[in-house]
Amino acid sequence: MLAAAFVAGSTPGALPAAGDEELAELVSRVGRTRWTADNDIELLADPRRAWEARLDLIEGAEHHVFISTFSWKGDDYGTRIREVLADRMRDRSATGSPLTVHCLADATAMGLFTRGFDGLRALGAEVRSYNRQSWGMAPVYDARMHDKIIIADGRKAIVGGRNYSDIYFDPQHWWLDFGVMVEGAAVWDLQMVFLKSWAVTTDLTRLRRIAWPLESIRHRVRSLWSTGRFPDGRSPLSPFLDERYFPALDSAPGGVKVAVLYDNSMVWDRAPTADLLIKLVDRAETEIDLMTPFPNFPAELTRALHDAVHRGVRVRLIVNHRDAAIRGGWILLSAYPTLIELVEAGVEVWAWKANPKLLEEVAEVKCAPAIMPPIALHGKMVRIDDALTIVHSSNFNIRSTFYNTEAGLAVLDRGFNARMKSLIDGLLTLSNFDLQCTNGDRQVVVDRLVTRLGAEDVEVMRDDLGHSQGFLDGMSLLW
Amino acid sequence: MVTAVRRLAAALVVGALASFPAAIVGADEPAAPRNVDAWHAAFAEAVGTDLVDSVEREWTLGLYPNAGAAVGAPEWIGYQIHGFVSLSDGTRFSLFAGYGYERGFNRQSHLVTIGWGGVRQLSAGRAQRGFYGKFLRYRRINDAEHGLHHGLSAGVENCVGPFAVTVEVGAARSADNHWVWTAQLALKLALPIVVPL
Repeated sequence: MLAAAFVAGSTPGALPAAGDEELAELVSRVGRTRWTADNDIELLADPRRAWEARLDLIEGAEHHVFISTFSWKGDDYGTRIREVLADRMRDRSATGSPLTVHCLADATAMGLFTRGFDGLRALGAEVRSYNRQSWGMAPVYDARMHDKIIIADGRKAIVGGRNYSDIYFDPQHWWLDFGVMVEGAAVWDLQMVFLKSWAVTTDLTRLRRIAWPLESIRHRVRSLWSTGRFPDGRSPLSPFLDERYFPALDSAPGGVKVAVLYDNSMVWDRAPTADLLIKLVDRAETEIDLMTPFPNFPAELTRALHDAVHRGVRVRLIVNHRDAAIRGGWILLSAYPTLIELVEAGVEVWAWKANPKLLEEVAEVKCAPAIMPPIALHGKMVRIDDALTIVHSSNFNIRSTFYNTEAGLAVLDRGFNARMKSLIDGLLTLSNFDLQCTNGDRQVVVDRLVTRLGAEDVEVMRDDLGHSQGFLDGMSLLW
Repeated sequence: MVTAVRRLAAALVVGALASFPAAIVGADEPAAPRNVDAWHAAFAEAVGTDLVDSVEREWTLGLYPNAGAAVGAPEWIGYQIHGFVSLSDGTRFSLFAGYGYERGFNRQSHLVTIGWGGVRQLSAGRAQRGFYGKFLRYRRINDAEHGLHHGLSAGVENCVGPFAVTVEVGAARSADNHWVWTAQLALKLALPIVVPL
């Protein structure tokens, strides 16, 4: 039966390896998740498609839209997504079936007195800040909401690395990022994550939090996560567990195996995703691709990547070059010890350099390309051998491992894995091409955008690092 | 020369993906959640281990000496020395208490502190300790002009490794009804010590 299922619809070279069941079990056990079959998924890498997919999701919603994100700015795209939400709420209200909208953004990114959501609130949307720091009610290093999920009607969702601002969606000036649009039973698990985050946010904003020690708060959150109930037996989830929020699936939207990965330092001392990644690296046989903008990894992950190379596994780590770093200063420096060790171990560390002069050249010849190359990488992705791919909000670094909330999807699908591989291959060879201008015969040739770090780069990093590694390691919980 | 469109298209492959046959995971597709207990039981069964690790009660004593500069009312600038002792069971509560001394140009204060929180292990690039606590503080302020004041303040103490910061607000009153306000930020060096019991 199992073999027959694989043969039906499979393509040459796409047969599952004997270890796939063991791999699935590992993901489930270490990642503290379960697999759902029959999902339909779409990789969202192009910023234009990533934007359209969000608009489609919101404009097609009939009952509810849930959004969690780290930051939500008041720039063009950040404002437009609010306007689209508001328009949809008005449309639904006019039909007599109002749209329920819950928005959750991290408190540090929301600002205490932001007025940007007043319009949505006036229409009935609920907007909350996750784990507000105000008045020191939480430690300076405490959990920040870093997961990015959008769910419509309990049927479709997008999860990945994009927040809401221009830099994620403007095709002329963007960070490369990944997201996955999913339709199927995995959406229920994502929605359960969101509803628990919503309940935790409500719980933490109550005044009595002042009288709670951290241990007590963690006890409440852990109880909620494992049982769906607070220690007093009350469940904030029950009002949502019906056909309106979790509609039964009429038919299988697709055939892809997806598991929802979620991390929260109030629930687990270490992120399950981080532990899972280390185990996956340990069992990788042929190749590993890993992309993150902030590679200050926990020591166990660095060691696992180091060992993988020594086993003969091809490891490609894709990060930002210091010239294209999203954050400078200590945040940039904090990744250098990891990068130095991995370069010296033989890991292929590829650094996205972008090309700061490209914008000037494009402006000079008045070229108007449909899309510019990304100015930096913000994507968080892991590809293990030829079967498993993870797209996540986690940077796989110290903050993501020990402090932030993070969400992602593990996808057990050779087609998806192969597409991610071709995408990475394409990125790493993206050089010496004509940036096709849409307004005439103007020509802009783009030089190499990515470089492999070597011994010279290690020397530069060592010089920059100086004697600050001890301080950077000690303070690494802040970045 | 390959055009930008082709190269970017190669790099940004998007679109519908070929599905792969079911049954790798061998589990039945879950049903839509309708009952909170049933859903969590089914999820835990599918995970195959506890979804959340149980936390064992582990008593810990913390010692937290610290010293530094305090900026703001009542002294505007002064120095502080504190010694705290904390106790935690690791699962439900933590509390701490301590004594301190503050001196500025015009006043000296004796500080008695009690609050929630304590010394804790922090996860970072290397193992280290820190401190977090919310507190109530009794301030016995000796003012050169108005004599002895008794006051209360509330605040928060944060420490990562050797670096600590405290925010505190409150007020104190003398026998002749003179008020002294506290609105202070203290930057300190600390030595959080964990003593397992």
